Amino acid sequence: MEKKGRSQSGAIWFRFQKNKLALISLVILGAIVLAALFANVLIDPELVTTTNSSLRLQTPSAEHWFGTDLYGRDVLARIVYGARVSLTVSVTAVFGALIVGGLLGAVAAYFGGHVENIIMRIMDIFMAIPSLVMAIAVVAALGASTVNLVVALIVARAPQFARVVRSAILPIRDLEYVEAATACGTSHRRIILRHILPNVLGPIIVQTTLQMGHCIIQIAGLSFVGLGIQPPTPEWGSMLSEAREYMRRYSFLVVPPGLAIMITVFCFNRIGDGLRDALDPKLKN
Amino acid sequence: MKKAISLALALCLLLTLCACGSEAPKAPEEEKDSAPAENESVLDTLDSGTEGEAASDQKPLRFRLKTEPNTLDPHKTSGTGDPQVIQYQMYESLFREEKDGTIVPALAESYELAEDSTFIVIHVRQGVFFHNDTPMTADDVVFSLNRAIETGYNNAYVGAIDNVEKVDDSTIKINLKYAYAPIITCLSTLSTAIVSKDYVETNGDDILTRSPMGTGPYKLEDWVSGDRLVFKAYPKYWRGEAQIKDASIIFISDNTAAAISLETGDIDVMTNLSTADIPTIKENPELQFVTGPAASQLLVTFNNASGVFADARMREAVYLCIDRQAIVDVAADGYGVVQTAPLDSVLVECPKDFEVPEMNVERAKELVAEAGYPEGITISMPTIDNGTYSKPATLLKEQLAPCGINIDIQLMERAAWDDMVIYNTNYELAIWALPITALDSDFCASKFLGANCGGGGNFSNCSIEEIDELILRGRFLPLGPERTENYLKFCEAIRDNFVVCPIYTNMRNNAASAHLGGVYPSATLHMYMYDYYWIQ
Repeated sequence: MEKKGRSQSGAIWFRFQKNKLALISLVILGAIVLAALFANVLIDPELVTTTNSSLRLQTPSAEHWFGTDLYGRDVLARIVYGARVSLTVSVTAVFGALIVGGLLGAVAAYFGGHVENIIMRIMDIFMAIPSLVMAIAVVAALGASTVNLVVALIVARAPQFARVVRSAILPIRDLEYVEAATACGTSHRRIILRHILPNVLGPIIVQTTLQMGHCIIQIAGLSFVGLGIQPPTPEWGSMLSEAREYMRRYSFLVVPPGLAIMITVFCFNRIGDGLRDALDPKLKN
Repeated sequence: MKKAISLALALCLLLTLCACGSEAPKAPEEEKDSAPAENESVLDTLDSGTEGEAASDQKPLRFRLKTEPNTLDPHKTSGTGDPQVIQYQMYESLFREEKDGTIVPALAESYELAEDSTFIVIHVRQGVFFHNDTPMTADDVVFSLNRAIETGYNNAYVGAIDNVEKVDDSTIKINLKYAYAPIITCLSTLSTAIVSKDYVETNGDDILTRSPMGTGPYKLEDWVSGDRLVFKAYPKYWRGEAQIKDASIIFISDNTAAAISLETGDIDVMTNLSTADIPTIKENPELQFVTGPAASQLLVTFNNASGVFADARMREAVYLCIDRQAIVDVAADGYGVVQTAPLDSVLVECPKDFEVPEMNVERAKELVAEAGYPEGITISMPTIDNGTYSKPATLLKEQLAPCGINIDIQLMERAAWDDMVIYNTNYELAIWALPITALDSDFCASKFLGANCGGGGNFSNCSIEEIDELILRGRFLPLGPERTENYLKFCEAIRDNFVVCPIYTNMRNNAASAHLGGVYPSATLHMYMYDYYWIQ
């Protein structure tokens, strides 16, 4: 029932916007990203780390919309700046994992045989270890810092990408246009990067979006146990962890970081779902 | 057939539920009535408060601790805190620290300390029995002290002992390597607990790890790994059988979860109450809040020998920037006492109102510049991943920033921190709690003795002749004005050289059921269940 003459991306957008939940998620996520990008314009950075013992544990008010934490810092300011940290780290980590895992998966699927066996069995070993445990092991070995956190997340996430990319490439590896490219003497590198990967972009995009949500949860989890972002840098997981002790008397402290994590992850997952439907040509009506 | 299987499965489920329901709240020995049904055991939990009033001393005591120990062997225990609390119930030493901090003879009937403090003769108490009903003799005492020396865990307390000899069946003589005044205090620690010689020799040296054999008021009945230790009062205990006959120590690692258990009546007394929970406990008429200063203080320790803080000007800059009250207010929720002297505040020799340089950020800035960092410097600070340390670290970072010292907090687990800071002194500055398990200024001061550098004894790497002399002199002096004067000089020397920067004294925050009597805060965690009783 599509109109004729719509471009491919236009068609995808048309299918995506029919999924109202995904659309709303995109709007919310857009707002979160904008707030994170312009955090220093919206909120004075001083508010984020300046402690003030006379202002501690205040309930939400006109001055402090989400109240203040145990150090007397404004919770709203920390949530907004925390979005910056969570999003930057998860975007870097997911793209890192995408590049590492995606390339490994593509190489494995393209060459097959022993190469595939070796790469995928190594990936299987990595996947046998729960990704949070894997990330904890990496951070514990390298020491806790933001860079090491990204490395840990890449190591923990890359195997998932390798698997998805490989499974997407396998059915098109032997298609005629690949054979044609091979017959023309095109190099393996060019075939993988220019001929094959663009054709499996759909599943990769979906996987990337979904992984983004997982990644935010994992960063929060690692920070919650003290292995992620180091204090006093605001991060949703570490804010939850700090507020936990005070939860019974000052329950307003755990709500904002908890909701922030929940909403962001929900948005990523809904968008991922919407994209999956929009990108899958078999679901075209 | 299908029906039979589903019936069996349902039964299994019911059994599991039953087991879960009855396990948590009660000690196994308590059930005297015939086989309680599942419902009853649930009621038990709910009504434990009112039931206690009726059944008085028959009600079991449930004491919560945070961590389960690896071993119950008093001579092979490292670290302080929870392991000691457990062992105080089962073991005794020649002397005992009472709740007011005084040392009284326990398994020693009487003693004579040589005038020059180089040896001590001890008359061993008669009529004391081990939990296997064998009497304690001088042989057991000699064996135990020698064992304490040999295991190598107890150097802080037995390092001064040269050898132990048996004089006759009820007398022993302890020869010291050098005159050492705090020897009586050393002999009151669990490091010198008396164990049964026969029992250890018959069953092998490792038997004490899980099966203790002491002379204390409680006998270990069962150790449910990961859950609890179950005790029964030992009827032949020499001071008379304990008032509460059945007791268990329950391990709940989360402090807030433990506070909730106390409120719901699942436990009767707990240590390590989170400061965030104190208001809730205080408001509850069914509970009592028991607090007192700890023999432990939080301080900033520097690596005095190498790195940025080898320069005294940098250490002085930290002194000039610290706002101690702000740290107490936030990090300890106000439950702490500002501390300026490097001796724990509960020690008799700790100077009161000890003066330290006043806050002066401008001067601190100059000092940092003079030390060669006019643009400021960034330093990584290893910090134990636990609110006790990470909260003051966050505040310290903020307080030091204006003078140009930027701290990168590096959270790590305790073992990694111990390894990095204590054993390898591979750090610039760190926040540390200085705890002692027995009350003598020497145990605090020895942490700064030059000879103890390396190996974990003195990890501020401070080696200053003047300080060493004062520490060694303190060891010879008996309690009195001269000793107090000596330790005042020691505190001044530590301050004038900016060796460490004290922040505040921690509190021992405990909570208990209001029906439990005899609960007191102990600076050194000498918490004896023997002293507890149910209020009718």
